[in-house]
Amino acid sequence: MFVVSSISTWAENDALTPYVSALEWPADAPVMMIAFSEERQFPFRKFPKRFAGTMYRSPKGELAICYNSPRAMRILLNKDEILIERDGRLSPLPASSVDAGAMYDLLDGNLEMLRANWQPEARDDGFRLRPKADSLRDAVKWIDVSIVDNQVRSVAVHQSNQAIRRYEFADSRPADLAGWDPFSR
Amino acid sequence: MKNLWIALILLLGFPIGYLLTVNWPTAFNSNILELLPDANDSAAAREARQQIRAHLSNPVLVKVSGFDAPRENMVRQLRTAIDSQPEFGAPFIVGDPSEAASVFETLQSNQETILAASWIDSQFQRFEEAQPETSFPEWLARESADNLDTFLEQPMSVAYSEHIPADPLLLLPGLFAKLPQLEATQSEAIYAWIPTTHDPMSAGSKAVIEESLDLVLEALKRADEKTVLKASGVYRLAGVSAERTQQEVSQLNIAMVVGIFGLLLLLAGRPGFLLLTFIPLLVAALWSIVGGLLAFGQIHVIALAVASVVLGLAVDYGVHLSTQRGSSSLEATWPKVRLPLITSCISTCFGFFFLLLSPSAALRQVGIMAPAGLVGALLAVRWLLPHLERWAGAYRIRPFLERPAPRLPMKVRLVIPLSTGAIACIIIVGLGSFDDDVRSFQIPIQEELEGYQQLVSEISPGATTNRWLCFASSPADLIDNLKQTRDQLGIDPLLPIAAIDPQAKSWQTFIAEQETFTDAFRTELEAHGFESTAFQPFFDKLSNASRWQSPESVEKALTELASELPPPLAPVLLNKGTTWLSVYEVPDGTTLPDSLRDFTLELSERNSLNSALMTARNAIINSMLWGVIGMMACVFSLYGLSRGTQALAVPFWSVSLGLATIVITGQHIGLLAIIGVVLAFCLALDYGAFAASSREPPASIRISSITTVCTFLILSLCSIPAIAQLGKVVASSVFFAWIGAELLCMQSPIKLSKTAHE
Repeated sequence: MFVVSSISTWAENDALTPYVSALEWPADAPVMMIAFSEERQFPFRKFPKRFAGTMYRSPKGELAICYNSPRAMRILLNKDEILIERDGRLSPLPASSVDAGAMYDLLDGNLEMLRANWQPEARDDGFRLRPKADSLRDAVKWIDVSIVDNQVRSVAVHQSNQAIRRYEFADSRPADLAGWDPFSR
Repeated sequence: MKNLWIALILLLGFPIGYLLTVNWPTAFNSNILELLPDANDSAAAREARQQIRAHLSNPVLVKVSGFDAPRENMVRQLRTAIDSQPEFGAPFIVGDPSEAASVFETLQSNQETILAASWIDSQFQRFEEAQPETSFPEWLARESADNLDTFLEQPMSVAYSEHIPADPLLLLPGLFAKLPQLEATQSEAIYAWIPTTHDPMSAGSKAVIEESLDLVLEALKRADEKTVLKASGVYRLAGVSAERTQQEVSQLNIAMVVGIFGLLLLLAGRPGFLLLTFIPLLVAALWSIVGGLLAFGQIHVIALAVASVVLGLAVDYGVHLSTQRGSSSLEATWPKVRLPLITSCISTCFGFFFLLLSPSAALRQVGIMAPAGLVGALLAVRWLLPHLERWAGAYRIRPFLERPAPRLPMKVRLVIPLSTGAIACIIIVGLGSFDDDVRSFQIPIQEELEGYQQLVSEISPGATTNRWLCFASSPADLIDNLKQTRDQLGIDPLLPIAAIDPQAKSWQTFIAEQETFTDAFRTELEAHGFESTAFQPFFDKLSNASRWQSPESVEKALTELASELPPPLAPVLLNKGTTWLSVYEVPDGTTLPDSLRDFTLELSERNSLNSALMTARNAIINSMLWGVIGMMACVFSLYGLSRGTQALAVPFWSVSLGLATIVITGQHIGLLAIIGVVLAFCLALDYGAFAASSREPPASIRISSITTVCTFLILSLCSIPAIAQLGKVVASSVFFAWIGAELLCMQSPIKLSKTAHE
């Protein structure tokens, strides 16, 4: 019993281990909200595009990313699925976006899936995730995650197509929805 | 005795021996499509129709709902469960991102050929409406750079960013917005389109498919016990229709036999009489089935239902001989009935042969089965009944059947038929209208149909019911045909490649000023903050823009697209062998112009089949006129002018009244009503022939008419409206034929006696 426990502890003792409490959501967490800003740097564009909004997480693990700048927009993120609200209708992304799963696992704090698909490397203020599978490498080179005060503060997704997405997150807090459902389909 | 054995072998031994060799599971056919008439289409149109019918009727449509487990888990479970069923191919899950990805890759490699020209055409129209001061290439360059800049604000731009250097015009994102089947469903339910390896129209496929669906549901329930699976498809409609038709045909046949023998027992009072009527019936049934199987290899269940009316006619033959026996023997009685029976048999066979003109394969089978049965019945009456007399024993027809009807004055006997006949003709001409709807040839399966339509509307919301099918033998011809359709009707086909004419002003302007556009677009991209050098993949392709619409590019693009489109989208561009198809929507109420008929079909077969029914009905009416002339010649040559006129008066009068009865009840006269008129005319001529050659009230006519009316009244209870109408027409006509025969027999016995011995 002691041997098995030791092997298990050794196997999970990687660059993610110090940040488990920062990544995982409490089991009884209500709908939570986090204000964020985003920069998209495309390789074919000289200046980044800037966005801002609020992310919501439901107790079931659904994520709703609601942009309010430069214009209102909503994205529903589930495992293996990313839906965009367009003209009042939800549509999947036309191209396969394998890093959507990584973003979901990261924001949802699913350590098991992160460890299965990514190789974590320690950094000064957090960790870097490098894809294990070729299919992931085709889409993403690496993802840098910075954690300050036991909370994810920034995420930078370096795409294989040279695009870079940088997210900055404010403190998380219980959402005040006043009857509105950000996860509605 | 020798004749008896020959008759037994020929009439009973041969058909029974043959039927013992028949493979019964395949002998009967319940395919509803064979009940429908063949449309009046060309060979190419028939091929196109067959291909699209096969594609659209193949899938099993499935809705999975009620589960609490994550939707994506259930999608995975559903795919695995379906993959494990050999009857099913790979499913298309509506709104699943992986389905969109596969279409995306196919379109991406041909995007300029398929999409660019129509996009430029639409931009050119906007340019002309806006009337800016700049040239078209400069205006287009600025608009395109603006659009690209705005697009980057959309989240989907992140996933699409690697494709943007090759598609800065954003052709593909624009197309995907027009494909509802690839959008995520807003419902929690999962909708799947599952191809099946079974012919959905074949017997037994419903059971096999439903068994596989049960196993799929079982697997899903292991993931979430609450899962509910609802499925439908043409396999189910065909299966339920076939089951109900077979069930109803069996019930009608049993009811007819029980009705006939019950009445005969009631009217004759002794079972021995039944033996004399049962043998012609048995021979007729055997010969009818053998005739159908020998001529067609298979018998449709509807053919079996309609041909079963021959049972009533076969019984009549036995009745005619048996009731005329009196105190002599059947052998001695035969000469008395020979002429009217042979006349009746020939004329009735002649009437049934009209069904060979029917557009429905099932009804053409009746055109062989019924005459075969009638000839068999007549031979049985002549060669078997006299030998069975000893077993039949004594019997006596109920006295009231032989009692003369109250004699009416001559004036009354003339006035009644003449006035009622005239009124009937006025009703038919004034109120009667011809109409056929192919739906009246199908057994109602409303609940199943509504379930199927509900599922279709949930999978493809907003799909219009009015869709046309364009067909051709090559991709280039298909494009030409679609362009003609667009130019003539102003309809924008879903296939964007068809929306552009290489000679169009927009395309010519773009090609002529391509270099100007290239320079302007580079400048605008830089001005909007883009690195114009990053878009070299696009500019490389742009330098060959004149070849985007070449026949080789078009053929390559369409061939690849047709092979990759997922099943629900495949009707947009379907290629099977040398047949190329494209289905598009047209506004409700649009009628197909003659100029497009060479390469266009309405996807709904209802109109074309109704047209085929109308053509067949008109053909039968025309042929019927010649048939009546032939029958009149036959009757006059056998009966002479005076008795021939009397014999023919009965069918003309009774059929007029029978048809008027249908018109008064507010029904349109359909194809089977016309066929019923032909049958009723032959039956009525049978009565007319007997009445004209009899000097006594013909008990055989009374028995025959009672049993025949009963038989056809039972047929009129059929759920298939067209067959029910046939039953009504014949039942009412035969009833009036009986009245006509009674009126005819009220003539002076002396005069009749004279004519009978002439």
